Amino acid sequence: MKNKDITSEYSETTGKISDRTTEKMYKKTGKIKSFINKIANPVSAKADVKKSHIIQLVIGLAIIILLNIIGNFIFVKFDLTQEK
Amino acid sequence: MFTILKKELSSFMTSLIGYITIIVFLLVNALLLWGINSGVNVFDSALATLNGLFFISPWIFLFLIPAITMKMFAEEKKNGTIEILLTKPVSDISIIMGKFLAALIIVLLSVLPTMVYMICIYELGSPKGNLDVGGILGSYLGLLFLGGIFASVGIFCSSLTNSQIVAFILSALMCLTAYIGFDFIAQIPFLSNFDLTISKLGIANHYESISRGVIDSRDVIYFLSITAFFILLTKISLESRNWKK
Repeated sequence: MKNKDITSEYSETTGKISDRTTEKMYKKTGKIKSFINKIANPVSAKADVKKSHIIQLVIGLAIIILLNIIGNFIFVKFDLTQEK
Repeated sequence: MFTILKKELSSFMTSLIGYITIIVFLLVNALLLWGINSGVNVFDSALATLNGLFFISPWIFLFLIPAITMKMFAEEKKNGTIEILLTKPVSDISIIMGKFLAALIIVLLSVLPTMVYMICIYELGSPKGNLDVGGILGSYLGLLFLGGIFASVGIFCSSLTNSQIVAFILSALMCLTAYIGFDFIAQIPFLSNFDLTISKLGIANHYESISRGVIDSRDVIYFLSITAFFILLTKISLESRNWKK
């Protein structure tokens, strides 16, 4: 039915598609694009990326703190000075 | 990674700012150590040590290293080349490490000429050669570790913004806070019970310890872990582009 509307607005005398018809076509393609975007980049996937980054940060921080705490108990010293 | 390292080094060496930063570093060091009466002047102290150099260098690094790192990601963001760089078949961590190593090499290049001071003091000593070379080499190692931390902080700040000035100010402030901020916090009377623990969180405490010429594994772990933490933060900052939209 909609296709019929579009074709009916094709002017035989000028051989051009009217402005109203192109506007409708743009609206249609815009809807399709946004639909594809929704499928390709779902909100949950973005949230997962953020979540995984936060987890990475927390794990990294934990490793660093743990390493420093362990390093405080087990350590070695290399004295490079001449006064020993 | 090495392609990015080469590109960063060549872009630094072909620009005037690269040479200016190195010359400023050497000039300020030379003036304070050998020229004006600054309190760390070698002739005034009449001691065959390079302690003055290792005292003033971190303060010069506070401005020198942010100046080196400020353009690393900020310029790429401003020019829009970051998108091209990130879509290349290299991992984000390779890009960051390439830039970090480039900054570290530039720091090394600016520190290397100060070895001449060591030779001068070695010759001036009475008797000749009365210098603790081992201790000085340990201090140089500490300076390099310090440079590593400042470079990683600078790269992280550069990844946050597309303005080089903002990146410079932010990284200088963060380096300053990390360097002496904890010492100030430790002096607060309310926290007097934990002053030693709090001051140990700062860079200055570990730098002074390693500058004595004793390489302690605790200091090395501290320097490496802080550097790694800021590299991780940079990686997350770069990948945060996937959070938006």
